[in-house]
Amino acid sequence: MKGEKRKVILKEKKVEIPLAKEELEVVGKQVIRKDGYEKVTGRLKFGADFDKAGFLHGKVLRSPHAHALIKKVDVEKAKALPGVVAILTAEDVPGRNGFGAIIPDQPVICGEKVRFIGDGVALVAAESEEAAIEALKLIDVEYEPLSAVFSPVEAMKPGAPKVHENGNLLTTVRIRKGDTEKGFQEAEVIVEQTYSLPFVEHAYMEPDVAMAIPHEDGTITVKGPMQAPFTVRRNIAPVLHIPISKVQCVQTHLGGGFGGKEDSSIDIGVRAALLAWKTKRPVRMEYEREEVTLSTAKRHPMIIQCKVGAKRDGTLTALEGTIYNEQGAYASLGPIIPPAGGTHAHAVIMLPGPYVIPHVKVDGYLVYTNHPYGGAMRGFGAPQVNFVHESIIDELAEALQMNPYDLRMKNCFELGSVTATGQVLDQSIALKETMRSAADQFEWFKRWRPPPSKEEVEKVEKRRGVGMAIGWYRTSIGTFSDGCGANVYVHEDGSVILHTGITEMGQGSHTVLAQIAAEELGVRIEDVRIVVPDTDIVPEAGPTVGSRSTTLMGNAIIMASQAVKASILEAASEILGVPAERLVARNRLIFDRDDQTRGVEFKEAARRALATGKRMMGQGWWAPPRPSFDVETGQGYPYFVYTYNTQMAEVEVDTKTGHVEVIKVVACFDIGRAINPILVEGQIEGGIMMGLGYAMMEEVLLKEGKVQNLNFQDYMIPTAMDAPEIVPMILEDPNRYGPFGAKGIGEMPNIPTAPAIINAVANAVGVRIRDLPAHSEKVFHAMRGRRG
Amino acid sequence: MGVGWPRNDVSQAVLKRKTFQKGKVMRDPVSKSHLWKKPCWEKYFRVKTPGEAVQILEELQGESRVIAGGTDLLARMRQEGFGVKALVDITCIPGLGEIRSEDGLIRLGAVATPKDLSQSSVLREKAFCLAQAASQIGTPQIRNLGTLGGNLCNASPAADLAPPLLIFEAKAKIAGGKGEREVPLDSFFTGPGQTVLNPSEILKEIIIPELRLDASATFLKLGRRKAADLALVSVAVLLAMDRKERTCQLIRIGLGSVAPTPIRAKQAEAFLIGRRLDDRSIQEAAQSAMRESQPISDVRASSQYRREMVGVMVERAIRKCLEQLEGKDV
Amino acid sequence: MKISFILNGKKIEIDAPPDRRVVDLLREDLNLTGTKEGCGEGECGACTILVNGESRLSCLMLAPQLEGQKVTTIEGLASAEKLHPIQQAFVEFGAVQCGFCSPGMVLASTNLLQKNPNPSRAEIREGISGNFCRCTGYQKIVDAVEAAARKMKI
Repeated sequence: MKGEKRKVILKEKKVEIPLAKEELEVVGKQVIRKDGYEKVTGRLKFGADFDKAGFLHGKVLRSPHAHALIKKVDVEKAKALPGVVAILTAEDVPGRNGFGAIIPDQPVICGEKVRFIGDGVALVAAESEEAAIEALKLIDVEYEPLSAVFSPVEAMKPGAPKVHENGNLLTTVRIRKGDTEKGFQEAEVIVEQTYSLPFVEHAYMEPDVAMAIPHEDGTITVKGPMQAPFTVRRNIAPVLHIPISKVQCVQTHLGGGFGGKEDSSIDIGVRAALLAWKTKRPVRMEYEREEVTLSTAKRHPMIIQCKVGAKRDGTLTALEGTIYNEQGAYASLGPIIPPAGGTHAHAVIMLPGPYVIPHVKVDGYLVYTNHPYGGAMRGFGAPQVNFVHESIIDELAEALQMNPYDLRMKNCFELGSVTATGQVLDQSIALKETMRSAADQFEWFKRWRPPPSKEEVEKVEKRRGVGMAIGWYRTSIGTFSDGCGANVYVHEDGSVILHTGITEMGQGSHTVLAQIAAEELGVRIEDVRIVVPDTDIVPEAGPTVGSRSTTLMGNAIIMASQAVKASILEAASEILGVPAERLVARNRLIFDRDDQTRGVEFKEAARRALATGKRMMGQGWWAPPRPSFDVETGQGYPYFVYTYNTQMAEVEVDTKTGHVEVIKVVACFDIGRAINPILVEGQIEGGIMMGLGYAMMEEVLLKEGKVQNLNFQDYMIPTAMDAPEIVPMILEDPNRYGPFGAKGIGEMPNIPTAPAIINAVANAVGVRIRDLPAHSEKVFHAMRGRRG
Repeated sequence: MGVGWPRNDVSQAVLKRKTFQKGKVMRDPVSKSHLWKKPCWEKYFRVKTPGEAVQILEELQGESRVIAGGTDLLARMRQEGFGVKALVDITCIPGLGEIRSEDGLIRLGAVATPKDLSQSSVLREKAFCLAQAASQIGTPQIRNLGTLGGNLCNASPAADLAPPLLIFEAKAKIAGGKGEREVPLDSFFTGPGQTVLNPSEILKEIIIPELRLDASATFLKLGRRKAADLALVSVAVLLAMDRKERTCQLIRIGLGSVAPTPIRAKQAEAFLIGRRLDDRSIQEAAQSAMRESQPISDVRASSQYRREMVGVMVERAIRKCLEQLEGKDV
Repeated sequence: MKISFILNGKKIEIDAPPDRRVVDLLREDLNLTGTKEGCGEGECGACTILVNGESRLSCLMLAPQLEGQKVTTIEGLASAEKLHPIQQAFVEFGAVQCGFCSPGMVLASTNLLQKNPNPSRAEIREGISGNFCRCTGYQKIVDAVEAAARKMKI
């Protein structure tokens, strides 16, 4: 059965948006993505597809120890190997020996000690890949193993092995709202539980690659699949000890990123750049799948204690939470970027969920260990805490003997609600509408039954159940430096070039952003060409993360388009003899609003604009309203707008084996405005599948710090056979700050899926899984435990 | 993904012993998994007869290996690497991929692919559970590329084709320097990754009888997800009963992934034979099969879970056979 | 060693070492980079090619295994001007996101529709179960294959 799809349009609220919906030509249309043809024919070149001729091959020697001092590195034998051009150790780094998206605490090449299995100890460049591999084997490293620490709780204890000199506690973030003691006194029912979440791998299909090319003039070019080319550039310059202006980062099309290539492209980019800088030759590096799993960032594991209290009627009175957030060996995207950036702050802010709770207390500890490190992954701390609040709300509903839908509806955000950080949600919030629409589509009230007794479960081999979860997710990254720029160039034939540093990694940004430019200029989407993001050419865009591309960059593009459009309209005005204010540009035509028979072709006006010396480019720069957040009290306005989502899942559990099959997921989103509905649906469906993997099978298994499942045979991701029917639904409650009312969608779909599935499992067989993933064996043991 | 080899635990143990360790401890045990990039043999022989294969294998004693589909071989090479000087490709030997039925016997050529097996009309008619098992191996691509012989000769405990062949009491026809020999499949496997084949022998053919008309057989596989996975437990059951008394006339139970080799659960079989097939006897047989299994714990599952699942899957398979028998008009 | 086979409709003869993997032969020696390598151990399906019309994994094949075979890579599926109906449907139905799995996915779908021109959605899922996609959630891919099947029957 093909998924039945339904789009619900909300009654438009009184919000100022640039154009009323029905007037739009390009935005909101099912525009086919611009890069589809190149991709299905295999013609699009990914990083690994570029010619290797002339490049040296770079490799990293990796630490087999989780924590050890480096006593000696002997490279003589390796250097003597034919074909080897350079072996670099820590003392060969000309500048800062460290990189990182926020804090440069990860050595480019470890000198004194290694902090996780996979840490880089030496770099090799050789004429052939074989020689580089052989050279790795010949490098002799003497280690003095140190005791290692593999749990954030252990790492916080006095006397724990110190991963970094300043101690293991990297960041503490708190929320203090009201008085939770009082709140729990008012409560009539209290539920308290501990949940835990594993390391998860992005498993983007394209392994990492980087090409570094040094130039005669002292500049260097680095190409590769970079999710955030400006962050890579920011890291390469100090390592090579040269100004940022001498580093050029050029993005190659990403074969998936999901947050992972924000970090990994720094790791591989900096190392390739260093090898190229030292050898004065182009160097190419490629991490194989196992190396990607071993050494690049993952989703943070967390242990979270949570306690929630409510009155008999379900009114929430208080929530307390403690997050032990495992950073692993290096800071990556964990720590705070003022005021509210970084995974950890985001997790703390999101833990109370989209609920109005008068008394809230959250303590979040971000702690170093000797494991691989946590970074950004689709949801950036939110999938973990969403699993917690959506699980405990269901547990509370059970304790209150309420339908979990009703408990959520009673407490969740609506227009005017105040969040745990004291933020008043004064616009674009249709969370309750997403619940209602999803429930109608899913037939929630017909299908939901209270969880079964164990006798009922044992009677049958398979049992179905339903579960739901809701969520919210920011658009933007909550830092002071969230601005981004765009340049729009109009040519005399009416064609347009758009410069944006937002990267295309499959999500379709380059189609959506082109749509926005085309709409604003009044041309067709095929008239707009986006150049490959190149830090020498495009203005600073910030990273392509935080579900910020469409909204933030969209605004910058509108501003840039308006700037250049002014010239075109001026020229048209001269041709038509109609004041520019009366002119409307649409679909390659510019015409008089009051007399639509009078018009001129867009290209005609563009030609005249150039010929009469008018400005042919527009620049735009947009930053969201300034965020605020106090890490001690957790009060402030950390992010300027949020996307809201309800997901409902139906599962079938095999009561004898514990195998869970997800039958159907209905997911409804308030995203402000869908610039390209088919791409939005793609984000929804893909995010849900990734959430399904998180719920049921994905986990980087570690034993004494060593990853046990390096490749896809044992790192399980869902196949097409594991995919349920997904019904994506889009609601549009326009965002006052968004281009055409849009807000972000990239990460939201990945967030409430896991708790919706786990709640459905509990509803089916009466057992609750509090540590992901809920693979068959875990569900089996939980059912067995219940049997006693 | 090969046709059946798990590559983390059992295989490593085996290969370390056989080839990888050269008396030198790897300084960098982590990187070895991604150090491999290129295989290293110098010769590749495409042979036209079994005799030719055997001759080359004898000449290059210990330094050559048979390759058929290559799915397990290449995947394992990436993980472990091992030094052979030559590969002997037997897929071009005429007739070696044929599936044919004669005189109540079904002959399965060693290089028949899982796809061939799953689509074979002979098997669909006369040994359906083998076609079922073949259709659950790996992925469509692996089923197009792998071979029956590879699945068996790599001797993975998780080889999906082994349990159904065991319940048919299959015989392996082996060609070697001293001519051909036949070995019952249940003595073919000698340990994880090990078989009775000596280095210069090749597996030519597997021979099974047709399923008795009054019997039924089935195959069940439990994985971690619904496709592209190795079995945590696989079970094949063959059953015939006295329809009047509902007593068990014939029972064979084959198990995969729960012992160093694919095995028959002979105590469970002995228990059930002659007994009335009811809930109690079926459950007891399943319990007995659980006791006979000796699964290991690894990244995929614990031994305890695997053992429990032997019970569940054996019970389900027997019930499924019963259902099929009850639906048959004999 | 000398290996001759038919590649995308043209007979070719190439000298390759016997330990050359097919994926390397295609990508590096023949510059056909539409075939991708995602895992190198036959799990992800990104390196899928068609050999005699059947989907196979080029990372688990050796160059000599191509001798005398008919090989189709993504570059050979469509003519320069016109997309194969499956490719067309992938583009139209939003079945492409990052695109790294797309060549393998398209070829696996081609093999599927050739064997079974009228597949159910469950059969389509089964047919592409050897190709991992991390972006789309597979739903739009199934939609696309279903639509292509309808179109190819006309």
